[in-house]
Amino acid sequence: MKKWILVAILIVTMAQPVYATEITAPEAPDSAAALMPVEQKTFGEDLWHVICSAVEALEPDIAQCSGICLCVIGTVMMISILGSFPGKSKSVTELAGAVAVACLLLGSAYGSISAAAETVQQLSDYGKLLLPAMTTAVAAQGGLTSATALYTGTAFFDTILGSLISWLLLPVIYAYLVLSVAAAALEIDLLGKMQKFLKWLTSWGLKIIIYIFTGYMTVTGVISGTADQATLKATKMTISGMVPVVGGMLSDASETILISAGTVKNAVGIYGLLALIAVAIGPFLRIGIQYLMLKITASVCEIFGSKRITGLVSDVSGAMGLLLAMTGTMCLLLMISTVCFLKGVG
Amino acid sequence: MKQYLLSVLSAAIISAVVLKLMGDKGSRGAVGKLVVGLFLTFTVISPIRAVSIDDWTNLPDSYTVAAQEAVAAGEAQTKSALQQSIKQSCEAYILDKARGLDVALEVEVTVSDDPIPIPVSVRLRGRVSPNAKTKLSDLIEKDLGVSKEEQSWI
Repeated sequence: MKKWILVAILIVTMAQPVYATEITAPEAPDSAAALMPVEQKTFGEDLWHVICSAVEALEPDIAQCSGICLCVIGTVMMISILGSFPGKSKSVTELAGAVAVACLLLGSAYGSISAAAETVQQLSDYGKLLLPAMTTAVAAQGGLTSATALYTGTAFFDTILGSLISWLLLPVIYAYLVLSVAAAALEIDLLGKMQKFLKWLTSWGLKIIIYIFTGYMTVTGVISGTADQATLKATKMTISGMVPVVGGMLSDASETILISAGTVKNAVGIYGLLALIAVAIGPFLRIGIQYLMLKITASVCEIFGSKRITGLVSDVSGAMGLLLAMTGTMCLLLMISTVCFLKGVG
Repeated sequence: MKQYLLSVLSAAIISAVVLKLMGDKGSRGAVGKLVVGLFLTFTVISPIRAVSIDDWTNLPDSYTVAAQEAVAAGEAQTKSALQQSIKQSCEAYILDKARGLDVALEVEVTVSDDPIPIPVSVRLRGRVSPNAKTKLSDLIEKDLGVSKEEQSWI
């Protein structure tokens, strides 16, 4: 009997309750939920699962893109055969060829632009749900200054990038495609130069935002992390100066709660990272396949096609590249932010 | 978007016509290229007029408020967990010491609302001999920092 009472006392005095804080990662959007693993294992295994699921879903897109590229190659071949006949109809043939190739490519290009716009919006929306959860988790771990600074910076840059993409860069890509077709049809050098300017504007704008954001997160992380560490140290010193028994209890309880908060933060952050990748990877791979296949098509057309029409195919491939850059930049911004939150205090 | 694309297409066609009319060579060609280039540039980057810098300058303040709310929620959770832990630890400690004195008690500890919570009062219920009561009371005051005035025995 005495033994059981002793065991009960030991259990009551030595058991440290783990307080699961009520912080959970927001559910991945429907488009990404199908790619997420059912059971979470290690980050590497879950990431591999997401990538494999996305690649498996690519088959219809590869088939469709291959069909379009073969039609383009066929059209360019026909135009070059027709153009080789003597007569004054070469410019009309090339104009017709440019219009035909534009009709073949622009439909799928506009579909890709819509997919990219939707992906950027989904990433931004998911980021807005993930941010408060990560902020609360880091604050629960004692990183009050870091959490505020990281939240403010991420939310601000997310809004700027989202606005820039929807208000300027997406219309610019449409304009880029229109100018590509006009340059191929009308053979005006100036339109080609305008296209190059638009391409430069888009990639420069995205690079500047990501460089400034990365710089801000690095500097903020160091400064605010130092402040939080100093606060935690001061708290520990206060606790150690208290009544020994209570001080010991506080020290043990704080340690347990910090570890618990850190575990929750890591779980939320890792799920958030996977969800962000799952949202972006499908459209990213689809647009990437189009980009590569159009590049290959342009290289093939260069062998026998005219410079105008090959240039048009290359320009549409360039537009796909810009869409990849946009989607990738938004995803990268949110992933950098999540990793900074995961790094936590110090 | 449709209007924007039509305006770009129209600008491209107008530019082509103007350049064809003015030709490539000479000062007329150069002026034509310059005017057409500027016209095309303004048409293409016209969506930037829809972006309002004033809207962006107010954003950091609104996000700071939202961040502070999320941080406050995290702080509140940690504080609540810490208070709960200290309360339970103190109660378990008192019960353990009471058993050592062969005393059966019900204990309720109240902790402070400070960022570092400490026990501020204790309520004890049970049949206790005067000797055990004195020993326990001294222990609570010495080990947990709760003065005798804040200890209530029922």
